[in-house]
This record gives sequence, structure tokens and C-alpha cells, in this order.
Amino acid sequence: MDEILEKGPGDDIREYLIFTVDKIEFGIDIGLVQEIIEYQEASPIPNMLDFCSGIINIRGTIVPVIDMRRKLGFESRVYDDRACIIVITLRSELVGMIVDGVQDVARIAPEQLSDSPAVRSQGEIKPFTSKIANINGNIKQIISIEAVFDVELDGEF
Amino acid sequence: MAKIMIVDDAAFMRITIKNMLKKCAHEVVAEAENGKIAVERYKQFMPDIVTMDITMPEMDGLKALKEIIAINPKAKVIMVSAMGQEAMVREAILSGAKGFIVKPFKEEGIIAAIDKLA
Amino acid sequence: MLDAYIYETQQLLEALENTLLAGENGQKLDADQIGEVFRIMHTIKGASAMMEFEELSILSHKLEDMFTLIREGKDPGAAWPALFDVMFSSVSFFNAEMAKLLDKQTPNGDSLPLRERVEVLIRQIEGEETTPEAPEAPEGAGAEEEAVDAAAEEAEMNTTEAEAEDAQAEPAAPAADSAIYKATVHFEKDCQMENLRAFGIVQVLQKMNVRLSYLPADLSASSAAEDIVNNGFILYIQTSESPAEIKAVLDETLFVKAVTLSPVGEDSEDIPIEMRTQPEAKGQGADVKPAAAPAVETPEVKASAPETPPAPEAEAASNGNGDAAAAQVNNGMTSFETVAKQNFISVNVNKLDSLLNIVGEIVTAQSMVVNNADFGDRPHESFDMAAQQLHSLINELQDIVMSIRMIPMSTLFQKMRRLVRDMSRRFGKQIQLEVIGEDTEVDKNVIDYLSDPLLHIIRNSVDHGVESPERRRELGKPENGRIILEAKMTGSDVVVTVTDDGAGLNKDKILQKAREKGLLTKPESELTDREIYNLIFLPGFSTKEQVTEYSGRGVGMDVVRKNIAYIGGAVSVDSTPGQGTVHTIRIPLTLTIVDGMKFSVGKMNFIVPTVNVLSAIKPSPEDVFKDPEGNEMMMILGKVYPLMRLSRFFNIHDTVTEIADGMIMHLSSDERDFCIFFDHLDGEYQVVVKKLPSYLEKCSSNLQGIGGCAILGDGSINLIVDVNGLAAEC
Repeated sequence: MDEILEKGPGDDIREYLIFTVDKIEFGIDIGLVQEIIEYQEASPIPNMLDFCSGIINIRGTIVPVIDMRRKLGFESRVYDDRACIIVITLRSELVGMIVDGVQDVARIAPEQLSDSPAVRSQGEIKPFTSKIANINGNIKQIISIEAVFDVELDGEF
Repeated sequence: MAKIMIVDDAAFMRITIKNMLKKCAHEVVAEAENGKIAVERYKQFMPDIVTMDITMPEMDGLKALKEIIAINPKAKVIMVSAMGQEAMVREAILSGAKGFIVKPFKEEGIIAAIDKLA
Repeated sequence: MLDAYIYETQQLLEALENTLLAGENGQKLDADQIGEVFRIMHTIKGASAMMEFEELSILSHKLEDMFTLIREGKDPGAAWPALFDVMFSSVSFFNAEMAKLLDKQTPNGDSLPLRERVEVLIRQIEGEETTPEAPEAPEGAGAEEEAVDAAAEEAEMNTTEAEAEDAQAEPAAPAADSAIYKATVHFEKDCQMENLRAFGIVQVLQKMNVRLSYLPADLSASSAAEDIVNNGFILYIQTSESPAEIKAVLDETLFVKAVTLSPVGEDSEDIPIEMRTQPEAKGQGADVKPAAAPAVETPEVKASAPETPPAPEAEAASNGNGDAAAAQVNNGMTSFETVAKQNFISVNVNKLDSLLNIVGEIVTAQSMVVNNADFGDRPHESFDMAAQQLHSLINELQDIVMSIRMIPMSTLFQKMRRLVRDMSRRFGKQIQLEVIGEDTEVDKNVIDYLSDPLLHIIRNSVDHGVESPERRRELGKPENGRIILEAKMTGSDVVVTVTDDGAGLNKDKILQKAREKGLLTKPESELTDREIYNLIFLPGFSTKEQVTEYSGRGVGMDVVRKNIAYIGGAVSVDSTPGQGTVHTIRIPLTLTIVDGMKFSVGKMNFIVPTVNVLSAIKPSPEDVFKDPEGNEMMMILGKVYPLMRLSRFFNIHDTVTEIADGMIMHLSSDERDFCIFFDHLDGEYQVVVKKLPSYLEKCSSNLQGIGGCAILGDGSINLIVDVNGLAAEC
């Protein structure tokens, strides 16, 4: 059903929100992104795991926030006012991800995507990256939501 | 570009058909969830083509078809039928339905049918 | 799209279940109900087929077939009980598949066992009808007709009488200069019911100035559609119209893929005999009045069987009437529903939640505004009046929002009806469930939390409470056991009771078990009967001895107690040996607003429900000491209580460590009293309780002791302490 609906010229091009973590450009399927908000300090939760920053209040909704620097294995640092929280919808709940900055939205065609090479210099990035987009020599790593957030989703993102 | 009315008691089916028709150059001008409303809306919107479910509460698709044909003998009504409704399809054809499509159908099917009538 | 499908299907299933339950009391469905069930199955079938959920669509198709038979007047008779069973099992099957879909799983259930049961029923229903009634009107008309047809159509290619009549009935017969064309029509692949599409072509052509003959000749034969798929639909058309005209008609027919049209010679071998013997055909046609309509009504029947007895025709006619009657019946019923429905709209629960959240925040913000106003010594009457008005408006708003969230218990009770029905069948018991007060309204959240505990209690009553009919007879009780499920309001509480007239609880067994498990806290002789009965709610009391499909799953009554306690309710049980057991659940009407004390540990803010707080103490170091195992204990008024440092338990850094610098709270839980040590006490608040996002479980190694969270007027997030959860850990 959905398959039929999504077919059609031009529909294979997907839009990705491009953000940076430690000067590396990453992309996330824009369909998942609910909103982008300014960085704010999160309230801690009991027995919090390393990559989690705690919870924030977005208009009355409690939203868990994860720190992408720590999740992707970069050094953590104090965030400045360029840092943002990308709020995504994950299995009908909101989850936030803190990133160094948000750049723009890129339209990426399937032929510009390739599977992540098996070995990456950053080592830790690999399991969290599902595809590599090459836009005129400009490389963006498409993150795997399932890997980063440790969930199973329907469909491919 | 034809004006289309979708008649089906299941909202799901209406949404599905509507979504399918989004791909073509026709416009869905009205929807109805039973035959009675369909007849009223037909008079109101005078759509070029009607897709008509058969089994519906209040007034079924056959009755609605007959009333619509009575209003406009040239009305173009496509019945949306299911397997097992042969007798009703037959009656619909005799009552002036332009054709029928069998659930489950594909996008190409319904668009082709509508393009042919438009 | 999928959401719409699931939502609608679930609604239909609920309606279906209600109809079935309503019908089962009378052991059968009436005509209205049969029509309703038919329509529901039909809709589910169509939608499932569109979504390509094959198992769901073929099962609903089978069920629809069965109800088609019943709708046409076949009485399942003795098969009704089995039919209800199959229907209920099917509802469960569909519901399970919907649950999978909601969970983003594939609906992979196998409907074959159910379909086989339906097959058996269909055969039974068809069989039953033939025996008692009308041997002259054989049932399964389709098959019979086909058999006759086959005989009648031996000569394959035939201009059948009726068709000839129709053709001739047109005012102007084809003129002598008419030509004969052979047309072959191919339909689109998989467009289905090709025979009827061909029938449509025949209908259109007959309105023109033509004589027709076609192959396959019998479009109602079961093989017709397949023939057309394989060989195309072949027509011989004798007409004076231009071939282009004919071709246009054929081309315009929906789902026609290809048409070939070519003239054939007058005496070609191909031409059917009828067309060659024109005068005769004409002569026949002349007898017929131009009243084509009635003849057209069921041309296939007439056409196929000139020698058949009139039975099939009569049958067809009665079918038609049956349909019409059922449709009318449908009309009456649904129009009533539609009227009732128009005054209601359905709202996404999330929206109601946010509305409630905002109202909660307004309440808090209001108190902040009012309390913060600093007027010095000046009088501020107008402010006070405005504040008062704001206060009462907000209260009213809060009441309305709360009332929007209130829903009647009836859906929940409906579920219980179904459970009792299924279980008593399974266990060979005869139990009647009596429901009282199902229109009692409670908050949506309460219903969600109440469902499992209630299921569990009722399972227990059916499984272990009410005895078997034989046993009841021996005891001099009526064979039919009774379970009464009642809901009523008492002030700010809702009380739900489950009363059965079964064997009652076994005091000695309970005591023995409690003793074995070391659950007794005071001497047995001091325990009242009631206290003994209520031991069953203690954690660790239930054993897996009693695992059955319904009652088991290794969870016991302690889970019931825990769930109910979570929503601020309480559960108790009382019993009279030999006469039965009463479970009483008491729950607050709304569970979303809580009075709490706010405190902090490091950077973390907590709220503990005031009902659990015995006292807050500024401790002196000498009140705290260590037991031989090194656990810290707190002495209050000569009694000693375990002391839990929350910083340690929740793994919080940068906190107060010296006893003298912090605070202690004396808490009471269901099991024991204990103390917690924290940094700072921040006062009393009224808060709206929110569930923790489920993703949080992936962010923390342990969330035990946290029951939810609350947002205060300043936007800060506070964690709500689950005192029972904490008590279990200290």
C-alpha cells in the first residue's frame, strides 16, 4: 500500500537534515525530525548512562536527551550557543539529540548514497552510520537511528 | 480533469482511494459514507465520476446508483466491489453502472478506469 | 493510512463483539444482528485486502460467506453455539493481529485453523437447511445450476433464447444490409470477474442495433471468467452500425486491454448457426414484446436453463428479497446510531493529556502569581477580587478538563464479560456474570491501569472460586455460578467489587503458605480472618502451582495490589467459606493530580506524595547509627528505621554528605516505614503526574523508585518518588 503511494517520479529523493558533531557532517532523515530547539541544560535522571544528558521539558512533554558527542564516541565539551537539540519522533515519543550545530537540509538521491565502508578512522562512528552520501565530493554520514537510539523501527531511515 | 466523488462507508477506503487519485489530474470534490449522503452530494456537486462501494449502511451502493442514474441517466458510476458480490455487480451493470473495480485493487487500476471514463 | 486501517478495524471489532455478546444470550442472532455482522466482516475483508494482509482478508471473507448464507435465510440451528465460538475466536484473532500492527510488527498469525472451523460450519449450515425443508428447491443453487447448465450448454456455442429475445426486442432489428463482425476482447490482467465485465459489454451492445452471439455462451458459469482470461471474450455481432462505433463501445469499457474487430463472411464456418438462420430468429423475436426489462432482470438464469425446473429462479428471487430485507434492517439500525453519534467527536488522548498538563500548569502558575504579588502596605482589594475570580475560573476549567477525560467503565466490563464467557467454557463451568454500574465514569488513565488487575481477579474467581456444576450440585448450590461485577462512586473514590458465590478462600492453606514463605509479621493467633485473607496480596505469596492459561503466567495477586497502588488505590479481599469471595478495589476518581513535598538531591528535584510522608526531620548526627552489617539506621522517638541515602541509591554526585547538613524524611510504604536522606526540602506542591517516557529506560541503568514526573510552574522537571518501590530496595 504505502509502497504504491510512495512511488512516482522524484519521490526517491529523500531530504536529510545535516548537522555537525566534532566538525564531521552527519545526516538524518528529515521525516523523523520534529523540531530543532536551542541547546538547554537537561535535568539529570537517576542512574543515568554516560551518553544521556537527562530530560528536558518541551511545552509540557518530558523529552529524554542524548549527547551525540558522547554517543558517537567524541570528546565531550561544553556546548556553546551554536549547539542545538534536534527533536525527533521515535516510536511516537519525542527524543532529543544534542549536536554541535545544524547546517541545512540536503536533498539526496539514492544514487548519491553508498554503504558505509567497513573501516572508518574514527572507529566508533561506523556502527552508528548506515550510509555515506557523496554530494559533489562533499561527504555526509547518514546516521542509523536504530543503532544510535538502540531501537527497532519499521522502514528504512 | 474530472470531478470525482468517493462513496464508501469505510473511512480507510476513502482515504486510500483519495491518496491513489492524488497522482492523477482529477480532483476529488466530494466524499460520502453512505448511499443516502452520496445521492445528496451528487445533486450538490454533480461530479463527473463516482466511485461507489456496494455494501454500506443507511442506503447501499445499488440503491444509490439507481437514484443517481435517475437524477442523471448519463452519470458515470464505477462500482467498488469485492469478490463474492457477483450478483450485486450484475444488478449494478443492469442499473447503469459504467463498470466496476474489484477490491483489493491497485492504484494503476483505478486511475486507468477513471481516465477511461473522464 | 495504516493507523486509519487499525483504528477502523478495531472499532468494527468492538461493535462486532458487542453484537455477538448481545446475541449470545438469546443463543442466536436476529436479522438485524446478522446484517450487522455481515457488513462488518465485509468491510474488514475489503480493507484488509487493500492493505494486503492476506490472512486477515481471507478469514473475513470466509466469515462473510458464512453470514451470506445465514442472511439468505439459512438457520444455523444447532450450529449456533459453535458459530458463536468461531466468531469470538475470530474476533480475538483479529484483535491480536491489530495489536501486532500497532506494535509495528507483521500480522503473521495463521488463520487456517479458524477457516477450517468456518468451513465445517458452512457445510453444517448448508446441510441443515436441505434436510428439514424444501427438497424441491435444492440449496447450494450455484452448484446445482452449474450442473444443469453444463448439460444444457453441451452445444457450447449458442445464441441463447433470452439473448436473442433481447436483441430482437429492440425496436429496429438489424437491417438486411447488416454485416457480421467477430470481436475478441481481452481484459486487463487480474481485473477479476471477467465474466461480469463481458456481461456489461453485452448489456451495452444490446442497447444498440445489433444481434449478438458470444463465447463463452454462459457468462454465469463458474468457468466463464477463466475462459475469458485464457481465450478472450469472443463476440459475433450482426449489425448495420459502423464497425468503428462497435469498436469504440468495446474500447471504452473499463479494464478492456485489447480489442480486435473484423468482419466475417456471411457463410463463414465460424458464424454461429443462429445467425445464419436469420428468418427463424426473427420470427422468434417478433413474438416478444419490447418489454425487455423484466426479461433482462435475470437473463443468465433463463438463458442457461430452458429445461430446468423453475426452482433456481425462485431461489434467485428469494435471495434478492433476502438481501433487500437485510439492507432495510440495516438502515433502521444504523440511522439511529448515526443520530446518536453526531453529538460526539473523538479526540486523540494525547491532546487531552496536553490540555490537562496545561491546566495543571495554570493552577501552579496562578498560585505563584497570587503569592508573589508584593503590595507592601497598600490595600489591594481589586487584585484580591481578580485573583479570586481567576481562581474559581481555573477551578471550573480544571473540572471540565477532568470530566472530558472521564469515560464509562462499560468497555472494560465488556472485556470481562468476554473473559468469563471464554473461561467458563474452557473450564466446563456455568457462570453468569452480572454487571452493575457499568456507566460509572472514571478517568481514562484509571481504566488503563484497572484493566489488568480486574482481569486477574476475575480469572481467579472463575478458575479457583466458582466450583464445577457437579460439585455445586453436591453442595446443594444452584448449578449456575454467579460473579457480580459492580462499580459505584463514593465521594472522590470509585469502588469496584468482584463478588463470586464460589467456594471462598481457604484460610488454612493461606496461613500455611504464608508461614512457609516467612510472610507472617505477627503471631498467627493475633490475625483476624480478614488479615489472613489479605495475605494473598503480599509479594511472593503466589506460587506457580496454579498456572493455567488464564490464571497463571507466574504473576499473582501481589501484582494486582502493586498496579492498583500505583494509581493510588487499594485492594482488599474478604471471604466466607463455602459461600464466596468479595474483592474490593478502591481507586481515586482521577489519578493525575497529587499533593507532594518537593526536595532536592544534588541537581535532581524530587516530589514525594504527601500521603506517604510521616514527618520531615532536621537530623542531628547522633540519631543516625550503623547496624552490625554496616547499614545506616535512624532513631525516631525511640524506634529504629532503616535509612536510605538517595544520593547513593540514585547515583547522584555533588550532594550533601554530612548528616547534619541535610534533611531526613520519615516515609510510610505499604510494607514498612523507613527514612530517606536528602539535601534540601523545598515545600509543598500540587502537581500533575506524568508518565515517564518509555525511552528513558534506555538512558538509565535503574529507574526503580521513580514513579513518574511532574513539571512545575517554573518549567522545572521533578521526579515523583515511588515510595513502595524505594521501600523494596532498602
